[in-house]
Amino acid sequence: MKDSVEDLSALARRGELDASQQRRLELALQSSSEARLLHRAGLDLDLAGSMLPGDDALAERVKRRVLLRVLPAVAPRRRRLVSWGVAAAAACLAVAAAAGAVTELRPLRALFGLSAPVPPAPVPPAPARQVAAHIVTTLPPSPSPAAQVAEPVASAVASARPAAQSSPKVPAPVDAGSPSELFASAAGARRRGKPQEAIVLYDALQSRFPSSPEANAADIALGMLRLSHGSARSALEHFSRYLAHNPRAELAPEALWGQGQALSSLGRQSEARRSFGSLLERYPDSPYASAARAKLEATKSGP
Amino acid sequence: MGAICRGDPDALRTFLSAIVPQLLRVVRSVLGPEHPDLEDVAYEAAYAVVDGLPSFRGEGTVLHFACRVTVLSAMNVRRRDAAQKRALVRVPTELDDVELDAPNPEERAQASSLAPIVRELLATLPDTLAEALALHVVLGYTVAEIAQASRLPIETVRSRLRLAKQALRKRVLNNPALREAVDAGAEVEA
Repeated sequence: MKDSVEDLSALARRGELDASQQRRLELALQSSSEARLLHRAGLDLDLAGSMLPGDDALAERVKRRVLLRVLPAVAPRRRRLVSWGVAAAAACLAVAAAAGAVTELRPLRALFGLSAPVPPAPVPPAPARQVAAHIVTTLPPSPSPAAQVAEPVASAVASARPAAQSSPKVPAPVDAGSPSELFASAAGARRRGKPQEAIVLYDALQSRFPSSPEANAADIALGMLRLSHGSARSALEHFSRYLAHNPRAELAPEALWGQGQALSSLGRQSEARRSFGSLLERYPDSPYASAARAKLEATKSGP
Repeated sequence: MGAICRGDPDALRTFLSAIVPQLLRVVRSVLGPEHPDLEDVAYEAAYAVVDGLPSFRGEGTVLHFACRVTVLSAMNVRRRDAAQKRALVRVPTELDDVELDAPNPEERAQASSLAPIVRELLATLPDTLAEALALHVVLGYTVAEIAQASRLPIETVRSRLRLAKQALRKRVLNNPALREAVDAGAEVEA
């Protein structure tokens, strides 16, 4: 079959044209501006896709991230090497967005995003910085063109997105990665509007790395997520556990606020008032203080 | 491939070492070198490739499979970006009315390059046309290779490429600077 100009163009870009084909391509390009543009576009994209300095390191990072996600983690349980302040800062970011899903916390989003006293983190150690970076940069979801493309590729693209899904022959993502990777994946899922996936990942983090700082911080995110989905009892367990283990930790204000909210949802108003009162007493400058005060006022004047 | 699917770490490392640089090139072609999510998209694409290997049926090379998965992944991101941008600036969604991106450093530096305009087309053309265009201009596929990869009749691929070419020409003609640069030294059809 006679080669079309597109075929000749493709072969030319690969350097596979013979002399006759080369002449035919030149003629075709001279006679059609559309063909000329398409050929030129291909050449420009070949140039744009060239390797650049630093690509080796970039490729290595990509490779490492995929390995971390696909291969089961073999590292022993980590000790609490990451500073609490930094882990808390990362968790604050997660909680701030999770808070957005809770109607009554919505006014506080601005405080968190703009002026909330995110715990100071002078020089974050790498793992925690990675957590924070992942929270910020994890990609939102994209609609897959799966419906209009051939099945194998389409399903590969589509199935790679939800972190909790995987082909049976490849280990599930929840089975892989460090605490910070899991935390970042969970935070990413939450940011992409996939709370159930986030919950699965946070749960996996807590069951696999129960003593990690990330697992601790995950209690707050899990509490907020469960609270926003009507699971007040489960949320209460998370907030209470966090407070039991870390009564003075950086996320204690969030835990107290969440505890009060959960108790309130369960109809345990007097206990909820105690949580809000404790929050006001211990953290009067917290972003939650005014909301807690309003809660106390409301329950005082309520039925 | 079997070793990778069985979870052999060494096989997976070797495989990733071979394909990731290629995937980076593809992602950069589709998104542009300045895109902030380059690494993340390459990572997601590489994971998608590994995840999709069990469904790879040996049609074409594994590298072709990987590159095609990556093109589609990157196009998803490109289309999502375009949709978000449209929503933000509330421009009309009519294809011909959508303005090109405000000039960024890459576009300024490569004022005569068609790469940015192709990227725009990949984000705004209908899926089927965009995919055919991407497989041809990004991956350098011939018509027959596109037909095989997409499991389409050759004539369908030709038709899609023809429409994509028309859209490309229309875009170029709407851009005086680009038209001038592209037409330099070549005659333009009426």
